[in-house]
Amino acid sequence: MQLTLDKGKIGCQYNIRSVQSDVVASKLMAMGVRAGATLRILRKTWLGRAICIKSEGIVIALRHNEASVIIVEILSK
Amino acid sequence: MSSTFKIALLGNPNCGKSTIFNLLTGLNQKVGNFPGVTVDKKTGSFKASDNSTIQIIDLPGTYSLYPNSEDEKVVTEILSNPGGPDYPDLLLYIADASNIEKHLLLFTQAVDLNLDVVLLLNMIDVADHKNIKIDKARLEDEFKVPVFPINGRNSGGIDEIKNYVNQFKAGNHKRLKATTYFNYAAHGSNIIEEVSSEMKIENAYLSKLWLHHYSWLQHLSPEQKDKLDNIALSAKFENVKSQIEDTLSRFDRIIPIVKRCVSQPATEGVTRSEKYDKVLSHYLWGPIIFFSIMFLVFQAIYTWAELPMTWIEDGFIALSSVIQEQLPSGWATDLLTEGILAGLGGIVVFVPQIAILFLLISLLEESGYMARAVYMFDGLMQKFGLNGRSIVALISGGACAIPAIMSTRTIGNWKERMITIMVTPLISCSARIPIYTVLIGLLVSSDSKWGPFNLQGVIFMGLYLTGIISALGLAWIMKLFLKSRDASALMLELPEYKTPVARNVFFTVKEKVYTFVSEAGKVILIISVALWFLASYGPADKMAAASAQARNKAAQNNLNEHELNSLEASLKLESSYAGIFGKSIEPAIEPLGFDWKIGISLLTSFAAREVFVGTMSTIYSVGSEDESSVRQKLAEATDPQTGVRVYTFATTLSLLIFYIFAMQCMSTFAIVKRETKSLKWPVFQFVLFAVMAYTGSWITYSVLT
Repeated sequence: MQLTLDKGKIGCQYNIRSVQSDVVASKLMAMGVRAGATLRILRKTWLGRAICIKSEGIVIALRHNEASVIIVEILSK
Repeated sequence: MSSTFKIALLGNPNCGKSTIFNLLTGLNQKVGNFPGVTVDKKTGSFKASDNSTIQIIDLPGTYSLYPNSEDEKVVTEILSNPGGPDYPDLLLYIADASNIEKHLLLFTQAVDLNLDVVLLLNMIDVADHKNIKIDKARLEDEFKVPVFPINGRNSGGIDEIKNYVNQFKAGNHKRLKATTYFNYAAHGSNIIEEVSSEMKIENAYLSKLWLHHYSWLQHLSPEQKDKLDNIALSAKFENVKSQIEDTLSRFDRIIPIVKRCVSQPATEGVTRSEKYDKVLSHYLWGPIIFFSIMFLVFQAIYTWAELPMTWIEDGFIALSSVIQEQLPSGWATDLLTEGILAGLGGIVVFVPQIAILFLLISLLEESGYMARAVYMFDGLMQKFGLNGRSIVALISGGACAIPAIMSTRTIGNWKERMITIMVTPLISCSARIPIYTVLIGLLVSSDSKWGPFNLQGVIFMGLYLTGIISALGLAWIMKLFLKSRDASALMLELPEYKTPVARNVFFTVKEKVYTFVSEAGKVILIISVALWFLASYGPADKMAAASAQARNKAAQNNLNEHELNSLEASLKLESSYAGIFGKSIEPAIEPLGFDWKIGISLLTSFAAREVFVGTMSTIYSVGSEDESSVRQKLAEATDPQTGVRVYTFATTLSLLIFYIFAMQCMSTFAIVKRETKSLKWPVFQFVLFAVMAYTGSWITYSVLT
């Protein structure tokens, strides 16, 4: 099942299918996170304005709107 | 072009670049700025074995040569300009040894620019600890560059690098023919060749960078930009798509190489940082812990700085009285003691606060905690057009706006940084406390109650809250009007927690103190001397008349010498240019309930807000700056014509409101000028705050009378 990352649950693992924004895609890519990579949602802030993920060995904080352009597929709950 | 041998340090954020910069340069470093942008340019040097100077430039940390922010653009600007003054002869590329694969994208880009690159594997101790095995010889062979393991923590490997640099400079190292990582095939058309031949550049990757970034690269001429624009348009060049393809093809090359050279344990359990973050970045505990830490920081600035500040103030007072005794009295001595020394004292007195704030902030920054604070508060701050990092400035602004504004340097987004700088002085700082104390004392008596609370305390808190609310309100308004230069993004890597390196903390503190004293200090000194002049001099006949009048009065009323002196000081201040200023603006400040005496104080307190109390004590010839005796004088003050009390409830509250908003602080003015690198912003801020103060006071006074 595919969803946008901002709808993801804490602790779940996902696989990145695509990134709908070129800016977000290129920046993630420069950090070494590409489509096809696996990620886990570590935590969110209150009201989910920011989200913290771990992928490819690094921890990245994303804004809600940055997460909402990342299309992911559920790997494990 | 200068003949100095130049080295540049390049690497991703969090690769430990500044640690290596500090190790290489030691105390031989300085901070300037890159032309045209508000980005710090850290340069330093060390002595080569042939006694020549080797210059080192610390480039801002970035992930690639496709920049997203001002400081990242600087890197591309320099490295895409082979004839430029900052173009390095040798590039030291720093990668995190514990995560090599992620740190090599930019490295391959640098190699493709045909730069001489050395690969430094920093934090080799962390990699060892994680049981990551790196085959150095194989890495050298695959990448065709020299590789050095470095431990920035105990400076292991630094001598080897210096040695290599010396040898390289002497021409003893033949460059290995590095492979290129740039994939032509990905482009399909011959657009790169077209750029290369039109622009007469040999390097294909340099052509690509020019094609991508010509619109903002400062070193390109308008003709070159036109040509590049034509090429891009006619070939329908897709900027971002081409960038993504380039990045993908680089990782396709990097990953297999790293697999061959680095072996790391497959099991990657929950790291120590993740365990800490379960609490420190928790959605509820995280902010609570953060505010507790900030409360401690705030307390530290207050309490630790108090004693050294007293020493500095007393020291300057002692020094100026010694000078006054030793030198013949006259304008030169007065200029020295009341103008220059007072100005210097006003500069040095901020040093303890700046040093303490940056000691604590750099500890938080170095440990990796600050990135978490940014993550936690970004959402809230965004609503006001601010950045997660702004919260540190806003909170420490409660102690002093100077170090708070200096701390905004880490906010990458231009718009968010400007808004933070603009609103921070609205947070009531410690210099407002003496004014608040004196005036609140006039407003209500110390035993008045508001319900169960002490009324003075409630008013005090109300003043602080008014400051905070107006800061956030102004931020929100500015968010609507200020155009952003670059897209706002969070997308921040949260590095692992680590013990701060004492050397880095020391250099940060030293740099901040030095910057303040040398840059803001100049402006403060000039304004201080100007204010001294205005308050000490006036038309000669009027000043002489003031002295004569004081002596007459003293003779009539049998005043002693001390009383005569303070009376004379009061009358002279009234006749001085500052007094003339105060009287001339009286019509303008009358609607606020202020008389000319308050007008003088508004002018002199631009030196620093707390000077208000001193000026008041001079005007009312109190002879001491003790707050309660000043308050008593003010309470008794009446209008000589009407006999009505000057400090009525309305006037006092109006004056309090005025001091919440007005930027009565030349040091803030100076530091805003320095941090925004323009005069436009501090002037705008000064005028805006004056308007806010005037309006606020006017409304207060009109409603109450």
